[in-house]
Amino acid sequence: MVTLLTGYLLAAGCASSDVIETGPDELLARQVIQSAHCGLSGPGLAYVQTPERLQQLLDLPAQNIAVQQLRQVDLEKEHLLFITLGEKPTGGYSVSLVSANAEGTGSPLRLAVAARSPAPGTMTTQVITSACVVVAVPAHDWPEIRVSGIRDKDLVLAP
Amino acid sequence: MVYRANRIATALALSLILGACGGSSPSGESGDGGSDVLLPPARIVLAGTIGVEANTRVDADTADGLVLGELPLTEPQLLPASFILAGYVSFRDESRGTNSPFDDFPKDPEDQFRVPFEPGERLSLRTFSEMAGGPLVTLALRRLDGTELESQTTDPINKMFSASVSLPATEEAGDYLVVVSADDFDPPPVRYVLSKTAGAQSLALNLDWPRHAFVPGRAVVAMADYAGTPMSASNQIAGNVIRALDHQHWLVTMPASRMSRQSANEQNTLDWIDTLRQQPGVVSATPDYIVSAQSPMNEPLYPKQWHYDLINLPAAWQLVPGGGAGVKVAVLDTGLFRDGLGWHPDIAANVVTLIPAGADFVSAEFDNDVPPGRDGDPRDPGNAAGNNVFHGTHVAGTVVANATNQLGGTGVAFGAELLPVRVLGEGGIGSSTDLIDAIRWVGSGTPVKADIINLSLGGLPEIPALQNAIDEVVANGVIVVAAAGNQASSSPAYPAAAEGVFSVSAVDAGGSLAGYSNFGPWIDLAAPGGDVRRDANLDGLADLVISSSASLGPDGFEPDYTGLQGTSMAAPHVAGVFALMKSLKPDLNTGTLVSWLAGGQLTTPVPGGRSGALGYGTIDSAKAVLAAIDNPSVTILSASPAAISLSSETRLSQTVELQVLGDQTNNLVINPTIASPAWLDVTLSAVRPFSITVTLNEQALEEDVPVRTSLEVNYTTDSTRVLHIPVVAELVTDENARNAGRHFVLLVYTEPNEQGQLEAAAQVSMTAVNGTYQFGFRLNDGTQGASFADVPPGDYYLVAGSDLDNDGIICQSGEACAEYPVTGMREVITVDENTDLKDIRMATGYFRPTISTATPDVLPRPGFTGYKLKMPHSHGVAAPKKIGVER
Repeated sequence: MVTLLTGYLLAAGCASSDVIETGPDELLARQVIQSAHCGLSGPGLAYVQTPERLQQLLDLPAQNIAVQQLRQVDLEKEHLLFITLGEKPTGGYSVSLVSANAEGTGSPLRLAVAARSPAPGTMTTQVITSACVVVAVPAHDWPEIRVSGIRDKDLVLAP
Repeated sequence: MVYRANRIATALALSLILGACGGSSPSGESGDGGSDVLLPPARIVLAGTIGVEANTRVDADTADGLVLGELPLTEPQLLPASFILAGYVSFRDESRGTNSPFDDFPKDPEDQFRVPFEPGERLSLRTFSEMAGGPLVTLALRRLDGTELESQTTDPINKMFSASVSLPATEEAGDYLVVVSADDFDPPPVRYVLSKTAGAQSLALNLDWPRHAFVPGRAVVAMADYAGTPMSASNQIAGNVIRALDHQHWLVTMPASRMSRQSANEQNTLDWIDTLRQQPGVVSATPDYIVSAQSPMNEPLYPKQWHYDLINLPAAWQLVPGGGAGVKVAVLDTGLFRDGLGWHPDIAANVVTLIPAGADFVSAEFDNDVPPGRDGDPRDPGNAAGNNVFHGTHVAGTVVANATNQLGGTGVAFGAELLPVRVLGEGGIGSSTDLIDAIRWVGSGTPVKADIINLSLGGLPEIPALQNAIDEVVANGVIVVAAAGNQASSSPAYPAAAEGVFSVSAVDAGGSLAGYSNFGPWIDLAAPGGDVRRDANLDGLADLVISSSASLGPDGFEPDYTGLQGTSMAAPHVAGVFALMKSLKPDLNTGTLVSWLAGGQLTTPVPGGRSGALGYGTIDSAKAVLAAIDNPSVTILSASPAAISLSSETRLSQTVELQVLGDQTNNLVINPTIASPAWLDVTLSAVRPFSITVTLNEQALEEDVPVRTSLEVNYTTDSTRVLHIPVVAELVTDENARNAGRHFVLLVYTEPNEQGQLEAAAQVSMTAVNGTYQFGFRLNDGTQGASFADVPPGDYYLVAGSDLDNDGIICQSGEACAEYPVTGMREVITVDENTDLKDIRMATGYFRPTISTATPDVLPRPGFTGYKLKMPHSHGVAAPKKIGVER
């Protein structure tokens, strides 16, 4: 599910000789689940390092997500990042992981996600949704995680 | 009041001498500004007090104080467990660019509060900005040592101006830091309102709900999905498993060790269930309710389905014990959940025996089932990534969920049949051509495949072919109901706005239009759609509409229940009520319904008969069902109002009219014994007209803690029946601590100025003393040296409010506001030499009136943004130095 997109790096002007070329066994990020009803009403990032923190995010009203898949993640090895689109007025919204890269040890982890929304005039369910994608990343001490694709500016989080 | 005027003048003079470093003072200093001479001894023509709504607080460093030299707080501001607070943050300071020194906004990038929290309690933020978009505002919940527990940021660009945080169940009860911080933006200032209610989201409160009969010594237990099968063996706490009810629920017996004298009674069963709920891995534990014939209120989730009480369904169900049997409702949606065991267990019994061929209309480009494209299988395939909430299953559950299977909740028309039809595919998106074909498939032939069509979908423009299809099926006797849409807009949205379709807007648990709901002259009626940000019925849970769904478990999707909000949830309430009616009056059609709707026979009426928000009003199931009974043979009691809210602040007592509906020839006897908790006294008037008077017993209540109960009124007519009346109450004790910030009291001209604003002719300002503001105006008789507090003879509105962002306008959203005599229903006051109004009482706060059945006289105010303060040099009156205390 996760790809290292050289094209994305070039387009974003981020390519450098320091880029970590992870192999297939060293994914920088993998998409664990998507949901249209995460219950998180604002757009943003939530970083999960402990089961307690995870439980907080699984305790929200108006939520329907695959709890089992999230609890199966070993938080000793991988941390979870909730990337949320925020509340939307209808169905038809989703967010998914496109790529992940880091430019070197101690560098920010950069994730690109694709947010989908219904075209104007499309017939949709008239239910309030709150789409998100939950991504597992290696349990490193990331100085910063930057996510592009949700807003015009990157969403930034310092775990 | 004369002595007070002298004090005002003295305080004003002092503040001018001292260079206006003022701000609020404990004495509640008051200034009228605009003059450096003592007030002339003119007569006070108008004076009074303004009380503050319960639990109201204000940020201690708002712009109107900061511009006067107050410093931002360095310590967290202390707040009580329940409060509503208005505040101000700005990433930096700047002028508003008007070349006026009076409207600068100061820097205040972060506000911190220290708030008592219980685990599970939720705190909500709503922001307001002068500019479209506006700055991002982050709401964070931290431990006192600064460790962040949860945070959320608003998204103004996408019109999300709210955020909320809750204390995780893993944290201890105690004080926590709440931080509101603003991001950079041009211009940066933002107003906000924070609110929290003590006890919210506490599941234990739900034990006080209606006392359904249950089997002593048994419980239905749901285990967390990761817990595997710990219920398969007996243990000391859980006892023995009798059988698995589905993937997650087990029916278990109480261990003998918990029984008294080797037998189970109601109390030790409830104690045991309480213990069960505290066990790791136990998601829920409920009594094994005894099901009486067709009693939807005995379903386990019924106590959480507030949306049914709101539309008077318990009374309606007494009139239609069959729950709509014999009527078919087609739900055109994402399909219906089905697993290896069959359709969703709470709906399976209601699905039509034979689904006609071709019930899946989703074209290949929108489809997510296999094979893609139209076929005969209307099951909702879900989505392997979990990006699905089984919308069609939720909607169908609201219409028809089974009432007698001890599972989940109930549907409005629990006896009706469901025809699931798929028109929405991946992500809940579909095409208009698929919808048009599906509508014709259901309703154009003879006989029709369903009597009622529910469309919890929208977003289409006006399409002639869609209108033609609707015309065809309506002419064929089919009734079509659709969701008005969630864009908070008055633009007609289709298919709801199409001719012949009943367009349903959404209300919250308080009966007010939900913030997201569309509105306008094309709305026909309203129904509960929920609002995640509100707990209007004080049950400790967000006001979501609870219904059937499915979630991803270890072995794939499993049947489940979830709470959602939207006009999608409102429409099926109406479709269900129409199904109840159709079962009583088989020739019911759109024409009859339109005529009854316009005649007020289906809804709780709104002022003037119709409003843009609620159409002809919120559906009243009992009235609607009664309209469909030609010669009613049954007789029932219905309470008006259907629910009671008491507090030491609003009313301590309320009389509820008990209306006799149905066959008026039957004798009706009410059992005079009505059990009630110690905090509630109940008096019954058992002769016609029947009524109940309930009175709060303040001595028996804990301060500032909401309580609730449900009264059972037993009566005998053609049968023995029970009427349930929910009651919520609170003893409020924070009167003296209330503060809504510095207030400006204005007499404003009744006609707008050149800028279209209602501007002050006279004004005074003051801070709150013991939760009250006091004000007075003198008559300006034309003498020189008149102050801002002197009002020339004329016609005015009397209003008051705060200006937290120092922009010279009060009563903007996020600022306090009061109007005379009642906020939302201002009346003209004529001031002349004979005016003598000295005991005016008003109430201020951050809530705005809504147009609802409880406030029928409130009218809409399109374009109203607030009242303009009297500015320097305006109307020839001397100028104050700064906006703020001197004005």
